Amino acid sequence: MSDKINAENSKDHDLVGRSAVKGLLSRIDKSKTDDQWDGEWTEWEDVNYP
Amino acid sequence: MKERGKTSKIRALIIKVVGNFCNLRCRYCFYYLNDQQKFHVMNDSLVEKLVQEYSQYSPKHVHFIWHGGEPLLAGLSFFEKIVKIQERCKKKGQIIKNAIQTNATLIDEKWATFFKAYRFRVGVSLDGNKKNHDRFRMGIHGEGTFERVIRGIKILRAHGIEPGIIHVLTHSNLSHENEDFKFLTDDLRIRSWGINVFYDNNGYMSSENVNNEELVSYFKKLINLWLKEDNHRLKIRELDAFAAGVFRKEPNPCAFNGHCGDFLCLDYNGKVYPCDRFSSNSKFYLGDLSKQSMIDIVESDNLQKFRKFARRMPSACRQCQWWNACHNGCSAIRSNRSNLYYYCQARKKIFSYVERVLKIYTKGGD
Repeated sequence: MSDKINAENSKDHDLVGRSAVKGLLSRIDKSKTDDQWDGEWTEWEDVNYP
Repeated sequence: MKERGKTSKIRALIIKVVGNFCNLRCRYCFYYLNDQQKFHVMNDSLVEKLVQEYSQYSPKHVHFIWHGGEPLLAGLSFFEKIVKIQERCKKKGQIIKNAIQTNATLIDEKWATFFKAYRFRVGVSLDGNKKNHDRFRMGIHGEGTFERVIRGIKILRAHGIEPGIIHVLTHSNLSHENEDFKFLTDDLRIRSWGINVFYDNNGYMSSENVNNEELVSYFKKLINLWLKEDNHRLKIRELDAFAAGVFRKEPNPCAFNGHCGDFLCLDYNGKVYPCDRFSSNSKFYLGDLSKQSMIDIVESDNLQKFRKFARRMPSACRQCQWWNACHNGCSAIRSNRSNLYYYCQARKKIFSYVERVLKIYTKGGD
């Protein structure tokens, strides 16, 4: 699958769930690799430690 | 103080300020019968040492996770003291962040005002609607706690705090995904939701364990409900984690990203373990912050040994396409014989399902 994760690319603009997927892709795009990690927890990572 | 080493990265510190002590008696809790006779709270000198050394050790952002037992039992004055020490100890330019995981039954106006003022992120334990929540999450007299939790959530919201929810998924409540989803998303309007799958490997309530097939079925239904809801603000931690893995991003939960051993657990008495789930096993004891420095504990051979133990790759994972997204799951839920994560089969199926679903939405992205 492409690195370019963008729900806008979908050809079917009436697809139910596009908004949910768009939000999800936006959140995971902010994830950091281990080397990039600087101690900041994003909103995505949040409070929910298991 | 020694410099933090490259191998000693700690992503968060989970602090059990009152140990396992709790004002509830949830039937599935692994603390249910342990350590409930005597109330303990972390003493002042340990609190001071913890905040000072953790701030010094940490990079720009310092993340404290206050956990339990029920951390609010430590009292508001305890946390007022903590934020004062944090302000005094932080390095120039450093940002302190606090998160707290609570059952919400003790939240009142004063707590909510405090959390808002000091920007605490609040996680609340809630297992769905009243029927499902009260099945296991009970007070000390065996009474349901749903109303008290909802009351706490309402007080938080009245102060502008939007809590995240932790939902324990048991065998008994996994078939109620429709009603729980509707309750949490439509009625309660929750926007951040994490699912902890119940798995008892101590044998006290294994009848509530969720098996692989059940977990796959649950997640497929949950994904379809989430798509149908179609709310870009609704974040379900596990769906984000599966999707991150599909897109070769780093999933956040430690049970996915292979960083087991980067989240340390500090008990009220100074004892440090790699995770709360290993805190009853002396084999995994890392040190005592009341007697040792934090840097000595995080740089210790014990922690390196634990990481090696937790991160070793079983032969069955070598050919798995999902290794980088899964890392053999939670190291506390693995087979003694094969060392494989109990939900290995479910994970493979869910990753593949999420990949198929997301392809529909991202077609043309190449």
